[in-house]
Amino acid sequence: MMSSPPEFRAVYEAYFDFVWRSLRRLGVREADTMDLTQRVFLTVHLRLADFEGRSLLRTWLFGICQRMASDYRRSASVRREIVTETAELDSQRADEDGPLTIAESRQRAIRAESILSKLPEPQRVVFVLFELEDMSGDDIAALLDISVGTVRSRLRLARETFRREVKRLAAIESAGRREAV
Amino acid sequence: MTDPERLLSAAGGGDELERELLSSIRDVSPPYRAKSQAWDGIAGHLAAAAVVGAAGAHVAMSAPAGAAVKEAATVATPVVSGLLRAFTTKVVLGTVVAGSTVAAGASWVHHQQRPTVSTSVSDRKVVPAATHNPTAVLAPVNPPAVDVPCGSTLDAPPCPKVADAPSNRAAKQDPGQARLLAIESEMLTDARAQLRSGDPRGALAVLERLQVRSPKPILGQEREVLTIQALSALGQNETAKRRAKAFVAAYPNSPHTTQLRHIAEDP
Repeated sequence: MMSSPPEFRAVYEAYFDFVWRSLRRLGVREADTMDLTQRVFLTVHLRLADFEGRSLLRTWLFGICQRMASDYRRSASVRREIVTETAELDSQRADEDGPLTIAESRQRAIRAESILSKLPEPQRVVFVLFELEDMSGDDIAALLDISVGTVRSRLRLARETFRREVKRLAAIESAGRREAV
Repeated sequence: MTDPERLLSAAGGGDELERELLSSIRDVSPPYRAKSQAWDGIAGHLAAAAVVGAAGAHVAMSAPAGAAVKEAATVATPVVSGLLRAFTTKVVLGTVVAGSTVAAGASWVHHQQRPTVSTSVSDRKVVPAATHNPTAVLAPVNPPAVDVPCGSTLDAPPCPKVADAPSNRAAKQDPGQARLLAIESEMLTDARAQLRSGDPRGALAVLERLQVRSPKPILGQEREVLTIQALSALGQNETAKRRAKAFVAAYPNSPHTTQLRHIAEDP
């Protein structure tokens, strides 16, 4: 006998943090995460009665987050916002008089997000779930409904791209420091 | 075969810059009160959807739905309850609309207050939208037809016997209305995102397209609020003030009124 679908409020309470973090990991900007999180849960509210339990609830929720984040990244307003390396360097110079820790931390985050945005989405998802969410390969495979071998393959490719981009960033920063001297 | 070491771990083989970069984005937890604020918005949106469904007059409430509504009502926070009461005192509610009123992808959410997250735009370069004058065609929205107090006349629908709280059971409703609501919600979300990212012209362009697509909008109040906010952001203060005053006069008990009062009363 099939159990009744979980109540919406209970799902919300249990998975709000997970949905929020998932959207951020999937490339949604901090300023837009509140809106997207609410959209995810409105979709959950709409479809929860049809959830048949054939997958983990967490997997189902993550799938909704992926689709929302994918539409979000394709939207015109997000495409029109361009974070350029020039803008980042300008920001760095402007912040030279400010608290170095805060400015450096912010710059690092911008650069990190920029690098991650260059990863193909399947690789990005595996990379952030493994490296930042500390999920195991098995858990990631279950979440994304793929094989562990695929998880490891995507992780390897993502790491190669990540490292290549970090080296490129290091070269740019080094050139910038030489100019400043 | 076991998992590799993580780049952030000592044995992960990540160099200093790689670890710095990953550490800088490691914490993406929601800020304090984000959970309760998000819930307020969700409840508000579902209440608005309930108004739409009732106005469509094609809603049925099943017994399980009624039970779910009661449960939802009892667990609603005092803020949410207050929001729902304030928003629905003057609207028709023959029945409560369940989740299917919000069509897949419906996305506009009513905010009681701005979320605590903030973003710096100083390090972003925003490419402005195509230039045109979007303000000329955005006429004020006529008050929607649903503002009829329940039980006020013999023809008005009776007031609901259960709280107008969200339900998580599907209900029958006009599919055309649901689709229109989904489209409006999507476009309002897009407009709001543009406004937040510092592009009020882009927001007005979206609202203009919404007006063309939906001359008699379901979410008319929401559209008008965003229009007023975008006009204010553009510095068109006289127009924004005039429309804000008209809105407050037309909808004194609307939850949006709080947002607009400072524009309406600005000297």
